[in-house]
Amino acid sequence: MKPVSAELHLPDLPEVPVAIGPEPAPYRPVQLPWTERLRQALLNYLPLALMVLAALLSWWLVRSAPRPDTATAPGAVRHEADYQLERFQLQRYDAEGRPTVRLEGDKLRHYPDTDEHEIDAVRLWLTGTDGRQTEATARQAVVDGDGQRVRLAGDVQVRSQAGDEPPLWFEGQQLLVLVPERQLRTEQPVRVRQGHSEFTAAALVFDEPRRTLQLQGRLRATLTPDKSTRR
Amino acid sequence: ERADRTKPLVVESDGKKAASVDLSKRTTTVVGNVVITQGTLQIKADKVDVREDAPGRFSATALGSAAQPATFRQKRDRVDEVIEAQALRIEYDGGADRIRLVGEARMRILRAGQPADEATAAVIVYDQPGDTLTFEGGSPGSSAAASRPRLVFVPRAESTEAPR
Repeated sequence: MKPVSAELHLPDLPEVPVAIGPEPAPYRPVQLPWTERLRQALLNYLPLALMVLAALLSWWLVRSAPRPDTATAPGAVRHEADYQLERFQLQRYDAEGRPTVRLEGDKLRHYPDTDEHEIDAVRLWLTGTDGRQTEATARQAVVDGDGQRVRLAGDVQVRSQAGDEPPLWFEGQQLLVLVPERQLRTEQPVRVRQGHSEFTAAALVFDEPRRTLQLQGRLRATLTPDKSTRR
Repeated sequence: ERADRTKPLVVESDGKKAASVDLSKRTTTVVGNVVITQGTLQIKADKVDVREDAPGRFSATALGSAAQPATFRQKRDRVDEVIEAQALRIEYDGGADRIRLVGEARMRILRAGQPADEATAAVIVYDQPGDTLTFEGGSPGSSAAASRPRLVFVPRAESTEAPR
């Protein structure tokens, strides 16, 4: 290898050929003992190892983290009222503005899960297009969402008046009013009175438009003759 | 008894079949071992139609079958005298207090529980206010035997006993 020489001219100094010493020898890895190389390797790769370890750790963390529910499942919404009314009156009209349903009660609770209204001390008036009047009172009523069905319970009394006919009275512990079909149904003992006739039966279906009563179970009809009208 | 007429008429059924009431026609139809009672009067039949001819005036038609005719039973005003009868159809007219037994009508009067007078005819009409019984012959179609009313009277034990 050629020694490195450099021209350096200093005026007051005798010209002396300057040589920066011999060209450094080419770098030759020093063969260290393997323990030393191992330690070197360890030292060199320690940060990398740490990084990998950190990555693994975070990956493990992510995997074992509690999986959030996809959407919070709409668990059983508790049967609780979402709004209440007290001493209320509700009036419903038909297209021509005639009153069809009037509902009064002490307390009303609406339950969103079943979309039902529970009413205490209820009074209900239904007016048919043909002028038929139905009036009902009971200790409690459950009206479904769109007001098509009213389940009356507890000392139920219903009065149905049609045209010139004597009024019809229903008494029982449970009566179901189907508003659109204008029907009264019950599977419990019921008493029906009209004029001089009285019927008691175990179950009943009253169809108001057709003016018919279907009485099931043991029937007892008590008809009181009125002799005063005789000749 | 005469007093029966003012008593309430009670119609009961075993409840196996539904009874229906037509409010506009003022009729009630009851089916299945139906019993009509009014005081001492009692009518039993398979099917009964009750009509309210006028407010407070009821009339009923009790239908039996050949196998099980409709039966009628009532105590009479006389001491311990009971009328028993049966027919295919029994018509009770509350207004006029008349009972009409139509179709193989048979009637028996029991005194002190013992069958006394007896009668068979096509139609028997028992008019309570007048306390009269009329027996009508058979309709043209019925057989000879059933056409002629047949009455059997049993003299009372003490004929001197004046009816009270």
